[in-house]
Amino acid sequence: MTNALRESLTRHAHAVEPPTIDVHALVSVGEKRLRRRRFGAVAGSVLAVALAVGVPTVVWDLGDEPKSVEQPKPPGPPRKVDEPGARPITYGQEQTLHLGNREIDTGLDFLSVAVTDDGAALTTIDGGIWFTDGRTVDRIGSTIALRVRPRGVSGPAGLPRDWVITDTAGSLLAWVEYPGQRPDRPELVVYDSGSRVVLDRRPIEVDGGSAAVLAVADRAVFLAVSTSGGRPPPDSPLRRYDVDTGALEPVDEAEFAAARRGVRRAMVVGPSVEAGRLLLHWEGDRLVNNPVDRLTVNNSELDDVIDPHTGEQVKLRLPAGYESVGFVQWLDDTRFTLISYISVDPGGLLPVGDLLVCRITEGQCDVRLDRSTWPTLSTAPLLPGEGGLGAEFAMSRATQAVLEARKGG
Amino acid sequence: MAVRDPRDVAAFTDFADTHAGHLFRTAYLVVGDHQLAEDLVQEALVKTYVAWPRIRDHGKATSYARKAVVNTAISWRRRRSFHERPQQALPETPAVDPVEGVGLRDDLWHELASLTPRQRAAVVLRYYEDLSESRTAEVMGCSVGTVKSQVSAGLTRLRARADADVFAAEAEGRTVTP
Repeated sequence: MTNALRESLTRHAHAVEPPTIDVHALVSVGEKRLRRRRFGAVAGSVLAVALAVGVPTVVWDLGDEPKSVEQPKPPGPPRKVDEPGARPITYGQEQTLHLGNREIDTGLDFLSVAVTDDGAALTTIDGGIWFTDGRTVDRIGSTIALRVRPRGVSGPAGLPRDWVITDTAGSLLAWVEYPGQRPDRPELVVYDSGSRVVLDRRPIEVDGGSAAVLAVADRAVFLAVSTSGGRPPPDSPLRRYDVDTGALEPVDEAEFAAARRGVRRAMVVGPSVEAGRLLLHWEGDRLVNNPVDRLTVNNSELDDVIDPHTGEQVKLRLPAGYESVGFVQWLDDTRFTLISYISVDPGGLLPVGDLLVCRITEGQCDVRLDRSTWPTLSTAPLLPGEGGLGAEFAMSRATQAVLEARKGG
Repeated sequence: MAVRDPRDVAAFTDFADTHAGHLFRTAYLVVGDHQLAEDLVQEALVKTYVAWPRIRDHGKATSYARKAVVNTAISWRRRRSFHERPQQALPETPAVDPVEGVGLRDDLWHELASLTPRQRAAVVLRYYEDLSESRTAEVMGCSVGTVKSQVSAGLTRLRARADADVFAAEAEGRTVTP
Protein backbone atom coordinates (compact mmCIF):
# COMPACT_ATOMS: atom_id res chain seq x y z
CA MET A 1 0.00 0.00 0.00
CA THR A 2 2.93 2.34 0.57
CA ASN A 3 3.59 2.62 -3.18
CA ALA A 4 -0.03 3.57 -3.74
CA LEU A 5 0.24 6.06 -0.92
CA ARG A 6 3.43 7.57 -2.31
CA GLU A 7 1.84 7.87 -5.73
CA SER A 8 -1.33 9.38 -4.32
CA LEU A 9 0.59 12.01 -2.33
CA THR A 10 2.73 12.97 -5.30
CA ARG A 11 -0.27 13.19 -7.61
CA HIS A 12 -2.22 15.42 -5.24
CA ALA A 13 0.80 17.59 -4.46
CA HIS A 14 1.30 18.31 -8.12
CA ALA A 15 -2.37 18.75 -8.88
CA VAL A 16 -2.45 21.94 -6.81
CA GLU A 17 -1.11 25.18 -8.17
CA PRO A 18 1.05 26.93 -5.59
CA PRO A 19 -0.14 30.47 -4.94
CA THR A 20 2.02 33.44 -5.74
CA ILE A 21 3.72 34.38 -2.51
CA ASP A 22 4.46 38.06 -2.06
CA VAL A 23 7.94 37.75 -0.61
CA HIS A 24 8.30 41.50 -0.12
CA ALA A 25 5.19 41.49 2.05
CA LEU A 26 6.65 38.62 4.08
CA VAL A 27 9.89 40.53 4.54
CA SER A 28 7.83 43.48 5.74
CA VAL A 29 6.00 41.32 8.30
CA GLY A 30 9.32 39.83 9.40
CA GLU A 31 10.83 43.29 9.83
CA LYS A 32 7.86 44.31 11.94
CA ARG A 33 8.36 41.34 14.25
CA LEU A 34 12.04 42.10 14.58
CA ARG A 35 11.30 45.71 15.48
CA ARG A 36 8.76 44.61 18.11
CA ARG A 37 11.38 42.42 19.73
CA ARG A 38 13.71 45.37 19.91
CA PHE A 39 11.01 47.58 21.39
CA GLY A 40 10.31 44.96 24.01
CA ALA A 41 13.94 44.85 25.05
CA VAL A 42 14.18 48.64 25.18
CA ALA A 43 10.98 48.90 27.24
CA GLY A 44 12.50 46.73 29.95
CA SER A 45 15.58 48.92 30.08
CA VAL A 46 13.53 52.11 30.36
CA LEU A 47 11.56 50.74 33.29
CA ALA A 48 14.74 49.76 35.05
CA VAL A 49 16.08 53.30 34.60
CA ALA A 50 12.79 54.77 35.77
CA LEU A 51 12.89 52.78 38.97
CA ALA A 52 16.53 53.49 39.58
CA VAL A 53 16.29 57.26 39.30
CA GLY A 54 12.84 57.72 40.79
CA VAL A 55 9.58 58.92 39.35
CA PRO A 56 9.85 62.71 39.56
CA THR A 57 12.76 62.82 37.12
CA VAL A 58 11.33 60.32 34.66
CA VAL A 59 8.25 61.71 33.05
CA TRP A 60 7.77 61.29 29.34
CA ASP A 61 5.06 63.31 27.79
CA LEU A 62 2.68 61.04 25.92
CA GLY A 63 0.06 63.63 25.31
CA ASP A 64 1.12 65.48 22.19
CA GLU A 65 3.78 63.56 20.35
CA PRO A 66 3.67 59.96 21.48
CA LYS A 67 5.28 58.82 18.22
CA SER A 68 2.87 55.94 18.13
CA VAL A 69 3.39 53.56 15.27
CA GLU A 70 0.30 51.51 15.97
CA GLN A 71 -2.20 53.79 17.57
CA PRO A 72 -4.88 55.59 15.65
CA LYS A 73 -6.98 58.27 17.29
CA PRO A 74 -10.28 56.73 18.31
CA PRO A 75 -13.31 57.65 16.25
CA GLY A 76 -15.41 60.00 18.36
CA PRO A 77 -15.12 60.84 22.04
CA PRO A 78 -14.60 57.89 24.38
CA ARG A 79 -17.14 57.27 27.10
CA LYS A 80 -16.84 56.26 30.71
CA VAL A 81 -19.93 54.56 32.00
CA ASP A 82 -21.08 52.36 34.81
CA GLU A 83 -23.43 49.70 33.65
CA PRO A 84 -25.88 47.78 35.83
CA GLY A 85 -24.69 44.34 36.82
CA ALA A 86 -21.16 44.93 35.60
CA ARG A 87 -17.96 45.60 37.45
CA PRO A 88 -16.79 49.12 36.67
CA ILE A 89 -13.62 49.77 34.76
CA THR A 90 -11.15 50.04 37.62
CA TYR A 91 -7.66 51.45 37.79
CA GLY A 92 -5.49 53.59 40.02
CA GLN A 93 -3.72 56.83 39.17
CA GLU A 94 -1.43 58.17 41.85
CA GLN A 95 -3.63 58.39 44.97
CA THR A 96 -6.88 58.27 43.02
CA LEU A 97 -8.86 55.12 42.41
CA HIS A 98 -11.17 55.13 39.40
CA LEU A 99 -14.22 52.92 39.86
CA GLY A 100 -16.12 53.53 36.64
CA ASN A 101 -17.40 57.08 36.81
CA ARG A 102 -16.36 57.53 40.42
CA GLU A 103 -13.00 58.99 41.37
CA ILE A 104 -12.00 58.21 44.93
CA ASP A 105 -9.21 60.26 46.46
CA THR A 106 -7.87 57.57 48.78
CA GLY A 107 -5.04 59.56 50.34
CA LEU A 108 -2.96 56.40 49.99
CA ASP A 109 0.07 55.56 47.86
CA PHE A 110 -1.46 52.22 47.02
CA LEU A 111 0.52 49.55 45.19
CA SER A 112 -2.11 47.15 43.89
CA VAL A 113 -5.79 46.98 43.02
CA ALA A 114 -7.97 43.87 43.34
CA VAL A 115 -11.56 44.15 42.14
CA THR A 116 -14.70 42.53 43.54
CA ASP A 117 -18.36 43.04 42.67
CA ASP A 118 -18.60 45.59 45.50
CA GLY A 119 -15.53 47.74 45.00
CA ALA A 120 -11.78 47.33 45.14
CA ALA A 121 -9.11 46.31 47.62
CA LEU A 122 -5.90 48.30 47.75
CA THR A 123 -2.56 47.47 49.35
CA THR A 124 0.04 49.82 50.75
CA ILE A 125 3.73 49.48 51.37
CA ASP A 126 3.27 49.24 55.14
CA GLY A 127 1.32 46.00 54.67
CA GLY A 128 -2.07 47.68 54.85
CA ILE A 129 -5.03 46.13 53.05
CA TRP A 130 -7.87 48.56 52.34
CA PHE A 131 -11.28 48.31 50.78
CA THR A 132 -13.39 50.96 49.13
CA ASP A 133 -16.88 50.75 47.72
CA GLY A 134 -16.57 54.26 46.29
CA ARG A 135 -17.91 55.98 49.40
CA THR A 136 -15.43 55.11 52.16
CA VAL A 137 -11.93 53.69 52.31
CA ASP A 138 -11.46 51.30 55.23
CA ARG A 139 -8.56 49.23 56.41
CA ILE A 140 -9.69 45.61 56.43
CA GLY A 141 -6.47 43.75 57.14
CA SER A 142 -2.74 43.74 57.10
CA THR A 143 0.06 41.61 55.90
CA ILE A 144 3.80 41.91 56.21
CA ALA A 145 5.17 45.37 55.53
CA LEU A 146 7.81 45.85 52.89
CA ARG A 147 11.18 47.11 54.03
CA VAL A 148 12.17 50.31 52.32
CA ARG A 149 15.82 51.19 51.87
CA PRO A 150 17.32 53.88 49.68
CA ARG A 151 18.50 51.23 47.24
CA GLY A 152 15.30 49.28 47.03
CA VAL A 153 12.39 47.50 48.61
CA SER A 154 12.32 44.01 50.06
CA GLY A 155 10.02 41.85 52.10
CA PRO A 156 8.95 38.27 52.54
CA ALA A 157 5.53 39.04 51.18
CA GLY A 158 7.06 39.45 47.75
CA LEU A 159 5.25 41.36 45.07
CA PRO A 160 2.05 43.30 45.71
CA ARG A 161 0.04 40.93 43.53
CA ASP A 162 0.43 38.31 46.23
CA TRP A 163 -1.27 40.46 48.80
CA VAL A 164 -4.95 40.23 47.91
CA ILE A 165 -6.54 37.77 45.52
CA THR A 166 -10.07 37.96 44.13
CA ASP A 167 -12.15 36.01 41.64
CA THR A 168 -13.39 37.49 38.36
CA ALA A 169 -16.90 37.50 39.83
CA GLY A 170 -18.29 37.68 43.35
CA SER A 171 -17.38 39.31 46.63
CA LEU A 172 -14.62 37.14 48.05
CA LEU A 173 -11.12 38.33 48.82
CA ALA A 174 -8.35 36.24 50.33
CA TRP A 175 -4.89 37.02 51.60
CA VAL A 176 -2.28 35.76 54.04
CA GLU A 177 -1.63 37.59 57.31
CA TYR A 178 1.30 37.12 59.65
CA PRO A 179 0.41 37.66 63.32
CA GLY A 180 3.26 39.36 65.13
CA GLN A 181 4.93 39.97 61.78
CA ARG A 182 6.23 36.38 61.92
CA PRO A 183 6.59 35.19 58.32
CA ASP A 184 6.63 31.58 59.47
CA ARG A 185 3.14 31.76 60.97
CA PRO A 186 0.84 32.57 58.12
CA GLU A 187 -2.90 32.77 58.47
CA LEU A 188 -5.37 32.60 55.62
CA VAL A 189 -7.95 35.40 55.80
CA VAL A 190 -11.12 35.23 53.72
CA TYR A 191 -13.19 38.39 53.48
CA ASP A 192 -16.63 39.10 52.02
CA SER A 193 -16.76 42.59 50.51
CA GLY A 194 -20.56 42.41 50.16
CA SER A 195 -21.19 42.10 53.89
CA ARG A 196 -17.83 43.70 54.79
CA VAL A 197 -16.89 40.93 57.25
CA VAL A 198 -14.02 38.52 57.70
CA LEU A 199 -15.51 35.09 57.00
CA ASP A 200 -12.60 33.11 58.38
CA ARG A 201 -9.09 33.39 59.69
CA ARG A 202 -7.25 30.11 59.57
CA PRO A 203 -3.64 29.25 60.58
CA ILE A 204 -1.79 27.43 57.81
CA GLU A 205 0.57 24.63 58.79
CA VAL A 206 3.81 25.30 56.97
CA ASP A 207 6.40 23.92 59.41
CA GLY A 208 8.57 27.00 59.27
CA GLY A 209 7.88 27.59 55.59
CA SER A 210 5.46 29.91 53.89
CA ALA A 211 2.08 30.12 52.21
CA ALA A 212 0.62 32.15 49.35
CA VAL A 213 -2.92 32.49 48.04
CA LEU A 214 -2.92 31.46 44.39
CA ALA A 215 -6.54 31.91 43.41
CA VAL A 216 -10.10 32.41 44.49
CA ALA A 217 -12.32 30.29 42.30
CA ASP A 218 -16.03 30.44 42.94
CA ARG A 219 -16.40 29.47 46.63
CA ALA A 220 -12.92 28.03 47.09
CA VAL A 221 -9.54 29.53 47.91
CA PHE A 222 -6.40 27.80 46.66
CA LEU A 223 -3.07 28.14 48.42
CA ALA A 224 0.46 26.96 47.84
CA VAL A 225 2.41 25.95 50.90
CA SER A 226 6.12 25.46 51.22
CA THR A 227 8.28 24.20 54.03
CA SER A 228 11.39 25.84 52.66
CA GLY A 229 10.52 29.46 53.38
CA GLY A 230 10.32 32.31 50.91
CA ARG A 231 7.81 32.38 48.12
CA PRO A 232 6.40 28.87 47.51
CA PRO A 233 7.97 27.48 44.33
CA PRO A 234 5.70 26.44 41.43
CA ASP A 235 5.62 22.76 42.40
CA SER A 236 4.62 23.42 46.01
CA PRO A 237 1.85 21.35 47.57
CA LEU A 238 -1.60 22.88 47.14
CA ARG A 239 -4.46 23.34 49.58
CA ARG A 240 -8.10 24.08 48.91
CA TYR A 241 -10.15 26.01 51.43
CA ASP A 242 -13.91 25.58 51.06
CA VAL A 243 -15.57 28.84 52.03
CA ASP A 244 -18.92 27.20 52.78
CA THR A 245 -17.72 24.25 54.87
CA GLY A 246 -14.47 25.66 56.22
CA ALA A 247 -12.64 22.52 55.12
CA LEU A 248 -8.97 22.96 54.26
CA GLU A 249 -7.53 19.99 52.41
CA PRO A 250 -4.79 19.02 49.97
CA VAL A 251 -5.56 19.06 46.26
CA ASP A 252 -3.51 18.18 43.22
CA GLU A 253 -2.57 20.32 40.25
CA ALA A 254 -5.30 18.83 38.07
CA GLU A 255 -8.05 19.73 40.55
CA PHE A 256 -6.64 23.20 40.91
CA ALA A 257 -6.45 23.71 37.18
CA ALA A 258 -9.98 22.41 36.65
CA ALA A 259 -11.37 24.71 39.34
CA ARG A 260 -9.66 27.73 37.80
CA ARG A 261 -10.92 26.93 34.34
CA GLY A 262 -14.39 26.52 35.76
CA VAL A 263 -14.74 30.07 37.06
CA ARG A 264 -17.56 32.05 35.58
CA ARG A 265 -15.40 34.51 33.71
CA ALA A 266 -12.23 33.31 32.07
CA MET A 267 -10.53 32.89 28.75
CA VAL A 268 -7.65 30.65 27.87
CA VAL A 269 -4.67 31.48 25.70
CA GLY A 270 -2.95 28.44 24.28
CA PRO A 271 -3.31 25.40 22.10
CA SER A 272 -6.23 24.02 24.11
CA VAL A 273 -8.33 24.65 27.20
CA GLU A 274 -6.30 22.08 29.09
CA ALA A 275 -2.88 23.25 28.00
CA GLY A 276 -3.48 27.00 27.90
CA ARG A 277 -3.09 29.81 30.39
CA LEU A 278 -6.01 31.67 31.89
CA LEU A 279 -6.69 35.30 31.20
CA LEU A 280 -8.19 36.65 34.41
CA HIS A 281 -6.50 39.99 34.92
CA TRP A 282 -3.44 41.92 33.86
CA GLU A 283 -0.37 39.67 33.85
CA GLY A 284 1.79 41.49 31.36
CA ASP A 285 1.08 39.32 28.32
CA ARG A 286 1.20 41.05 24.96
CA LEU A 287 -1.30 39.67 22.49
CA VAL A 288 -0.81 40.49 18.83
CA ASN A 289 -3.48 39.95 16.22
CA ASN A 290 -2.24 38.19 13.12
CA PRO A 291 -3.86 37.56 9.77
CA VAL A 292 -5.28 34.11 10.46
CA ASP A 293 -7.47 34.95 13.46
CA ARG A 294 -4.91 33.72 15.91
CA LEU A 295 -2.82 35.65 18.37
CA THR A 296 0.89 35.77 18.83
CA VAL A 297 1.52 35.93 22.55
CA ASN A 298 4.69 37.60 23.80
CA ASN A 299 6.36 37.19 20.40
CA SER A 300 6.10 33.45 20.73
CA GLU A 301 4.01 30.81 19.04
CA LEU A 302 0.64 31.43 17.50
CA ASP A 303 -2.09 30.71 19.99
CA ASP A 304 -5.82 30.79 20.16
CA VAL A 305 -7.96 32.59 22.68
CA ILE A 306 -10.53 30.06 23.85
CA ASP A 307 -13.72 30.35 25.84
CA PRO A 308 -13.24 27.47 28.32
CA HIS A 309 -16.96 27.02 28.81
CA THR A 310 -17.75 26.41 25.15
CA GLY A 311 -14.34 25.36 23.88
CA GLU A 312 -14.85 27.81 21.05
CA GLN A 313 -12.15 30.07 19.74
CA VAL A 314 -12.68 33.75 20.56
CA LYS A 315 -11.78 35.81 17.54
CA LEU A 316 -10.90 39.28 18.74
CA ARG A 317 -11.69 41.98 16.25
CA LEU A 318 -9.74 45.02 17.29
CA PRO A 319 -10.58 48.38 15.73
CA ALA A 320 -8.43 49.26 12.75
CA GLY A 321 -4.89 50.16 13.63
CA TYR A 322 -4.73 48.30 16.94
CA GLU A 323 -2.33 45.38 16.92
CA SER A 324 -0.86 44.79 20.36
CA VAL A 325 -3.09 44.54 23.42
CA GLY A 326 -2.97 43.16 26.93
CA PHE A 327 -5.84 41.67 28.90
CA VAL A 328 -6.91 43.80 31.88
CA GLN A 329 -10.20 43.01 33.59
CA TRP A 330 -13.52 41.16 33.37
CA LEU A 331 -16.55 43.44 33.56
CA ASP A 332 -19.32 40.84 33.42
CA ASP A 333 -19.89 37.36 32.01
CA THR A 334 -19.32 38.45 28.43
CA ARG A 335 -17.27 41.62 28.50
CA PHE A 336 -13.69 42.36 29.36
CA THR A 337 -11.17 45.16 28.90
CA LEU A 338 -7.90 45.31 27.01
CA ILE A 339 -5.23 47.97 26.98
CA SER A 340 -3.31 48.69 23.81
CA TYR A 341 0.43 48.91 23.52
CA ILE A 342 1.85 52.00 21.93
CA SER A 343 5.35 52.82 20.86
CA VAL A 344 6.90 55.48 23.03
CA ASP A 345 10.15 57.19 22.14
CA PRO A 346 12.23 56.58 24.14
CA GLY A 347 10.82 53.51 25.78
CA GLY A 348 9.57 51.17 23.12
CA LEU A 349 6.27 49.36 23.10
CA LEU A 350 4.40 49.97 26.37
CA PRO A 351 0.89 49.12 27.62
CA VAL A 352 -0.22 52.72 28.05
CA GLY A 353 -2.54 53.14 25.07
CA ASP A 354 -6.31 53.17 24.83
CA LEU A 355 -8.56 51.01 26.97
CA LEU A 356 -10.91 48.84 24.91
CA VAL A 357 -14.04 47.00 25.97
CA CYS A 358 -14.59 43.70 24.13
CA ARG A 359 -17.42 41.21 24.08
CA ILE A 360 -16.43 37.56 24.22
CA THR A 361 -19.44 36.40 22.22
CA GLU A 362 -18.61 38.54 19.22
CA GLY A 363 -14.96 39.39 19.80
CA GLN A 364 -15.96 42.95 18.99
CA CYS A 365 -13.93 45.66 20.74
CA ASP A 366 -14.62 49.38 21.16
CA VAL A 367 -12.51 52.16 22.59
CA ARG A 368 -13.75 53.21 26.03
CA LEU A 369 -10.92 55.38 27.38
CA ASP A 370 -8.28 56.93 25.21
CA ARG A 371 -4.68 57.41 26.12
CA SER A 372 -5.13 61.07 26.99
CA THR A 373 -6.62 59.73 30.24
CA TRP A 374 -3.02 59.09 31.30
CA PRO A 375 -1.09 61.91 29.62
CA THR A 376 2.31 61.04 31.11
CA LEU A 377 3.99 57.75 31.89
CA SER A 378 3.98 58.55 35.60
CA THR A 379 0.17 58.71 35.45
CA ALA A 380 -0.04 55.36 33.63
CA PRO A 381 -2.93 53.33 35.04
CA LEU A 382 -2.31 50.94 37.90
CA LEU A 383 -4.27 47.99 36.54
CA PRO A 384 -6.02 45.23 38.51
CA GLY A 385 -3.73 42.21 38.86
CA GLU A 386 -0.03 42.73 38.42
CA GLY A 387 -0.64 46.38 37.73
CA GLY A 388 1.22 47.01 34.51
CA LEU A 389 3.48 50.00 34.10
CA GLY A 390 1.41 51.86 36.72
CA ALA A 391 2.56 49.37 39.36
CA GLU A 392 6.20 50.27 38.76
CA PHE A 393 5.50 53.96 39.27
CA ALA A 394 3.22 53.27 42.25
CA MET A 395 5.99 51.38 43.99
CA SER A 396 8.47 54.11 43.20
CA ARG A 397 6.12 56.80 44.53
CA ALA A 398 5.41 54.87 47.72
CA THR A 399 9.10 54.25 48.29
CA GLN A 400 9.94 57.91 47.84
CA ALA A 401 7.17 58.92 50.23
CA VAL A 402 8.60 56.63 52.93
CA LEU A 403 12.13 57.91 52.38
CA GLU A 404 10.99 61.54 52.48
CA ALA A 405 8.96 60.93 55.62
CA ARG A 406 12.09 59.50 57.27
CA LYS A 407 14.07 62.57 56.27
CA GLY A 408 11.36 64.81 57.69
CA GLY A 409 11.18 62.73 60.89
CA MET B 1 14.81 51.31 8.26
CA ALA B 2 15.23 47.56 7.85
CA VAL B 3 16.54 45.61 10.82
CA ARG B 4 18.11 42.95 8.64
CA ASP B 5 21.19 43.50 6.52
CA PRO B 6 20.21 44.09 2.85
CA ARG B 7 22.35 41.11 1.81
CA ASP B 8 20.33 38.89 4.15
CA VAL B 9 17.12 40.29 2.72
CA ALA B 10 18.31 39.52 -0.81
CA ALA B 11 19.42 36.01 0.14
CA PHE B 12 16.12 35.33 1.87
CA THR B 13 14.15 36.66 -1.09
CA ASP B 14 15.99 34.29 -3.42
CA PHE B 15 15.38 31.43 -1.05
CA ALA B 16 11.65 32.18 -0.69
CA ASP B 17 11.16 32.59 -4.45
CA THR B 18 12.85 29.27 -5.08
CA HIS B 19 11.29 27.14 -2.37
CA ALA B 20 7.83 28.58 -1.69
CA GLY B 21 6.19 26.26 -4.23
CA HIS B 22 7.61 23.08 -2.77
CA LEU B 23 6.89 24.23 0.79
CA PHE B 24 3.32 24.93 -0.24
CA ARG B 25 2.87 21.43 -1.65
CA THR B 26 4.20 19.87 1.54
CA ALA B 27 1.93 22.12 3.59
CA TYR B 28 -1.04 21.18 1.41
CA LEU B 29 -0.42 17.47 1.95
CA VAL B 30 -0.05 17.97 5.69
CA VAL B 31 -3.24 20.00 6.16
CA GLY B 32 -5.27 19.13 3.06
CA ASP B 33 -6.58 22.66 2.68
CA HIS B 34 -5.39 25.10 0.04
CA GLN B 35 -6.00 28.30 2.01
CA LEU B 36 -4.58 26.93 5.24
CA ALA B 37 -1.53 25.67 3.37
CA GLU B 38 -0.95 29.14 1.98
CA ASP B 39 -1.23 30.66 5.47
CA LEU B 40 1.20 28.04 6.75
CA VAL B 41 3.81 28.73 4.13
CA GLN B 42 3.60 32.45 4.73
CA GLU B 43 3.97 31.98 8.48
CA ALA B 44 6.84 29.52 8.01
CA LEU B 45 8.65 31.92 5.69
CA VAL B 46 8.23 34.82 8.11
CA LYS B 47 9.69 32.66 10.88
CA THR B 48 12.54 31.73 8.58
CA TYR B 49 13.19 35.40 7.82
CA VAL B 50 13.27 36.29 11.51
CA ALA B 51 15.66 33.39 12.18
CA TRP B 52 17.77 33.98 9.06
CA PRO B 53 21.04 35.08 10.76
CA ARG B 54 20.86 32.06 13.04
CA ILE B 55 20.64 29.73 10.04
CA ARG B 56 24.36 29.98 9.35
CA ASP B 57 24.34 27.45 6.55
CA HIS B 58 21.72 28.82 4.21
CA GLY B 59 21.60 25.42 2.55
CA LYS B 60 19.78 24.35 5.69
CA ALA B 61 17.16 27.05 5.36
CA THR B 62 14.93 24.57 3.52
CA SER B 63 15.05 22.24 6.50
CA TYR B 64 14.23 25.10 8.84
CA ALA B 65 11.30 26.28 6.75
CA ARG B 66 9.97 22.72 6.34
CA LYS B 67 10.24 22.22 10.07
CA ALA B 68 8.30 25.45 10.62
CA VAL B 69 5.61 24.32 8.17
CA VAL B 70 5.18 20.92 9.79
CA ASN B 71 5.24 22.05 13.39
CA THR B 72 2.98 25.03 12.81
CA ALA B 73 0.59 22.75 10.93
CA ILE B 74 0.53 20.25 13.77
CA SER B 75 -0.15 22.92 16.36
CA TRP B 76 -2.84 24.60 14.25
CA ARG B 77 -4.56 21.32 13.50
CA ARG B 78 -4.40 20.27 17.13
CA ARG B 79 -6.00 23.54 18.18
CA ARG B 80 -8.68 23.26 15.57
CA SER B 81 -9.60 19.71 16.46
CA PHE B 82 -10.05 20.16 20.19
CA HIS B 83 -13.14 22.29 19.91
CA GLU B 84 -14.70 20.79 16.84
CA ARG B 85 -16.86 17.74 16.76
CA PRO B 86 -15.16 14.67 15.26
CA GLN B 87 -17.04 14.88 11.99
CA GLN B 88 -15.98 18.50 11.70
CA ALA B 89 -12.42 18.03 12.83
CA LEU B 90 -11.06 17.99 9.33
CA PRO B 91 -13.06 20.42 7.27
CA GLU B 92 -11.16 19.66 4.12
CA THR B 93 -11.34 21.98 1.19
CA PRO B 94 -14.11 24.35 2.19
CA ALA B 95 -13.96 25.94 -1.22
CA VAL B 96 -12.87 23.94 -4.24
CA ASP B 97 -10.37 21.13 -3.99
CA PRO B 98 -8.29 21.30 -7.16
CA VAL B 99 -7.82 17.56 -7.02
CA GLU B 100 -11.55 16.99 -7.14
CA GLY B 101 -11.55 19.18 -10.20
CA VAL B 102 -9.63 16.60 -12.22
CA GLY B 103 -12.13 13.96 -11.27
CA LEU B 104 -9.88 11.60 -9.34
CA ARG B 105 -11.35 9.39 -6.71
CA ASP B 106 -8.54 8.67 -4.38
CA ASP B 107 -9.54 6.84 -1.24
CA LEU B 108 -6.12 7.09 0.35
CA TRP B 109 -6.11 10.84 -0.07
CA HIS B 110 -9.49 11.20 1.55
CA GLU B 111 -8.61 8.76 4.32
CA LEU B 112 -5.58 10.86 5.20
CA ALA B 113 -8.07 13.23 6.75
CA SER B 114 -8.83 10.66 9.41
CA LEU B 115 -5.25 10.65 10.73
CA THR B 116 -4.11 12.72 13.67
CA PRO B 117 -2.00 15.78 12.77
CA ARG B 118 1.24 14.09 13.80
CA GLN B 119 0.43 10.86 11.98
CA ARG B 120 -0.38 12.75 8.81
CA ALA B 121 2.77 14.85 9.02
CA ALA B 122 4.92 11.75 9.58
CA VAL B 123 3.33 9.97 6.63
CA VAL B 124 3.83 12.97 4.33
CA LEU B 125 7.46 13.42 5.33
CA ARG B 126 8.23 9.72 4.88
CA TYR B 127 6.28 9.04 1.67
CA TYR B 128 6.20 12.38 -0.14
CA GLU B 129 9.40 14.04 1.01
CA ASP B 130 11.14 10.66 1.11
CA LEU B 131 12.91 11.56 4.31
CA SER B 132 14.55 8.91 6.43
CA GLU B 133 13.10 8.14 9.83
CA SER B 134 15.86 10.09 11.52
CA ARG B 135 15.39 13.13 9.27
CA THR B 136 11.64 12.93 9.82
CA ALA B 137 12.25 12.84 13.57
CA GLU B 138 14.47 15.89 13.26
CA VAL B 139 11.83 17.84 11.35
CA MET B 140 9.06 16.88 13.75
CA GLY B 141 11.20 17.46 16.83
CA CYS B 142 10.65 13.98 18.21
CA SER B 143 12.46 10.65 18.53
CA VAL B 144 12.90 8.08 15.76
CA GLY B 145 10.76 5.72 17.82
CA THR B 146 7.93 8.25 17.83
CA VAL B 147 8.19 8.61 14.07
CA LYS B 148 8.00 4.82 13.67
CA SER B 149 4.96 4.59 15.88
CA GLN B 150 3.21 7.54 14.20
CA VAL B 151 3.82 6.16 10.71
CA SER B 152 2.80 2.68 11.77
CA ALA B 153 -0.40 3.91 13.39
CA GLY B 154 -1.17 6.05 10.34
CA LEU B 155 -0.64 3.23 7.88
CA THR B 156 -2.68 0.84 10.00
CA ARG B 157 -5.51 3.30 10.03
CA LEU B 158 -5.31 3.89 6.29
CA ARG B 159 -5.27 0.13 5.66
CA ALA B 160 -8.27 -0.41 7.90
CA ARG B 161 -10.19 2.31 6.09
CA ALA B 162 -9.16 0.99 2.69
CA ASP B 163 -10.25 -2.53 3.68
CA ALA B 164 -13.56 -1.19 4.92
CA ASP B 165 -14.05 0.49 1.55
CA VAL B 166 -13.29 -2.75 -0.25
CA PHE B 167 -15.88 -4.58 1.84
CA ALA B 168 -18.41 -1.84 1.32
CA ALA B 169 -17.78 -1.82 -2.41
CA GLU B 170 -18.03 -5.60 -2.62
CA ALA B 171 -21.32 -5.49 -0.76
CA GLU B 172 -22.55 -3.00 -3.33
CA GLY B 173 -21.19 -5.09 -6.19
CA ARG B 174 -18.63 -2.49 -7.21
CA THR B 175 -15.04 -3.23 -8.22
CA VAL B 176 -12.29 -1.65 -6.18
CA THR B 177 -8.58 -1.54 -6.89
CA PRO B 178 -6.78 -1.20 -3.54
